[in-house]
Amino acid sequence: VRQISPVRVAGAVFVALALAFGLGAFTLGFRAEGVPGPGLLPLLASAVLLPIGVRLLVTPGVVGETSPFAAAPLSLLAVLAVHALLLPRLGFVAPTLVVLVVWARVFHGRSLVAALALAVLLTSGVVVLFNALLGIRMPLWPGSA
Amino acid sequence: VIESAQQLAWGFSLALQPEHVVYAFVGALLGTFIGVLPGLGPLTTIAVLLPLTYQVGSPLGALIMLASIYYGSMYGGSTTSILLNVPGEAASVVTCLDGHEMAKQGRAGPALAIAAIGSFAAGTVAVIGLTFVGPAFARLALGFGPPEYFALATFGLVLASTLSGGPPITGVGMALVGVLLGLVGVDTVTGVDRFAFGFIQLTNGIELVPMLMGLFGLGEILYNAERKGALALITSRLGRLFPSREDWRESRGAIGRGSVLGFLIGLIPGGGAILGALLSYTLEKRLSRTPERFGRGAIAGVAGPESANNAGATSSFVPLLTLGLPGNAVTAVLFAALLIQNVQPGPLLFQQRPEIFWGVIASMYVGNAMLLVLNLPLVGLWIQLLRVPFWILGPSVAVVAVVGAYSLRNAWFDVGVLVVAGAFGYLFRKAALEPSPLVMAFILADILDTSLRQSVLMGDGSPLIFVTRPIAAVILLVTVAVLVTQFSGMRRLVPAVDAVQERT
Repeated sequence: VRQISPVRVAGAVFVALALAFGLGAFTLGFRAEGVPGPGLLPLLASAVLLPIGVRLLVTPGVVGETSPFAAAPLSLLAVLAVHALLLPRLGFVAPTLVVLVVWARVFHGRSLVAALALAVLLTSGVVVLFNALLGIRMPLWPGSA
Repeated sequence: VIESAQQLAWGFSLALQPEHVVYAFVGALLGTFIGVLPGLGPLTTIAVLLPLTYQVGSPLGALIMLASIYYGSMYGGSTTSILLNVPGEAASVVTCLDGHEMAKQGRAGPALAIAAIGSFAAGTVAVIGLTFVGPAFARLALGFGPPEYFALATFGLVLASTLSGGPPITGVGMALVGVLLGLVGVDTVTGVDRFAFGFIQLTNGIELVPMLMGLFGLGEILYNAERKGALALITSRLGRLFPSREDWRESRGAIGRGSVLGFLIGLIPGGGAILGALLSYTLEKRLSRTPERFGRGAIAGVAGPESANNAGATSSFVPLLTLGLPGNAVTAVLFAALLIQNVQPGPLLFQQRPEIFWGVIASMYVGNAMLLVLNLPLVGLWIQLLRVPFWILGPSVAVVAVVGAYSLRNAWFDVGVLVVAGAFGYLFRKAALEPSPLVMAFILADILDTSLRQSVLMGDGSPLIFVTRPIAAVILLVTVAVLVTQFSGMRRLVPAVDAVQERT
């Protein structure tokens, strides 16, 4: 992972967005009854974005010095993505408790007691603040959605 | 002028209503509380706290709270710049230069105090300036049609993206990504679904708040997750809090000049705080009899930019409220927040809802005073917050962001938006790409799209209308000039830009 330049990845993202939106613009149409259609601005923006993305992809040095990717943030991102996928199925409490224990244990090397304390205090604190005090009706348990 | 003064007095009577004072107090306190957490700048702070303002009943109350959150977060950002050398936003980088040096020399106290006092003085100057400039702007804007709006929005975007730090090409790229993402959803003119890619949840566009919380909050947390060592917090020697007589003598002029400079630059869409802070720093260094002390703990190097920053933050509300054009990423978020409250900023707001304009202006003053009262005594508490270890801070911000994203419209889908935006935020942070042009463009996309199409409609299908309308033509010409200078290597007009870019 360390070998990949973040600027190149960003360039690739720019190119992908420019292609997706630019090609999509063709299906929307550029003119509707004599005036610009919904596709015009996306086409213009994509047309300028595409060469910028290519430039970053080819010569990442233009941005100056950047730091390589690291493993920890990427695995943490994966954990958070799994969390987001589990929430609609299991409700807020269980996935959040698990994620917080994993976060403190694995990513910060805390003891199990500390990790559990963080998970329980933070989860219950948020539930009390948002569900009870601010009246946000968030499904807390499986099936309560 | 007398009329404006009367209107301002009316504004004060609104802002000083007990409920509004409470909103200002809570906003300033929470804004500082979140803003002082390392790495969380004003945009993140506003994004995290935005859902709270939905609970506020009135648009004026919500806007007063948001403005106070903004002020508080800026002060919090100054604190982390001075004590940790961690700027919360690009404009605070300038404060780091001398503020952190002062802290290392055991003079963190005077640095923090002068930042607070300078901000307060600048806020005062800016509010007085607003009283006169605001109505003039609104009158001017009444004559603006779609071509002028398109030209101004383009100008603001170009200026903001090329001055955001880093090479201009990346700023422009980020702004274009923002435009594209901002166009997702139903087209308001034809009713056609644009770029929803099959997600029914995207018909109303990508939700702003989860995107912001992801780009800035989650992105920052992910970025910090790889850093094992703690930040070097300098609190052992805070020094005396109040500046000495000599400090005063050195700062007075800097505060005055910074306030005026920052105010004027904040009026320009896209000018923003970073340019004001940079120019003020360069100016003070030039005027100083001891320029060699700049970068080594000169108090004028903190006082000037901090004042410019705050004055610019205040005056950037003028284009937002009178033209309906946000000039930077923060006012762009406030723009979106106003729309949520069913308030359409623009010249008509000034006529039809004067209480919003004058109430907010007056409440800025109240908010500024509150920060002064709040922050000088509470410095010790904010320093304790800087000590919160990352294994508690990171997960806390993430969990609050998850609930915040869900709560906007009770949709887990927006938690997905949050995580995807977080991945983007981390990527941009690693690639040294500044996300604020993206945010500003995301919010301006709708204005750009609509005004472009209306303009061409006005011109009977011809884009020549942008050349034949004199104001639009001049603005677009200046825009092209900015692009040419930025891309042709003439951008070294401000030498300090280099110093700042090395640090961002």
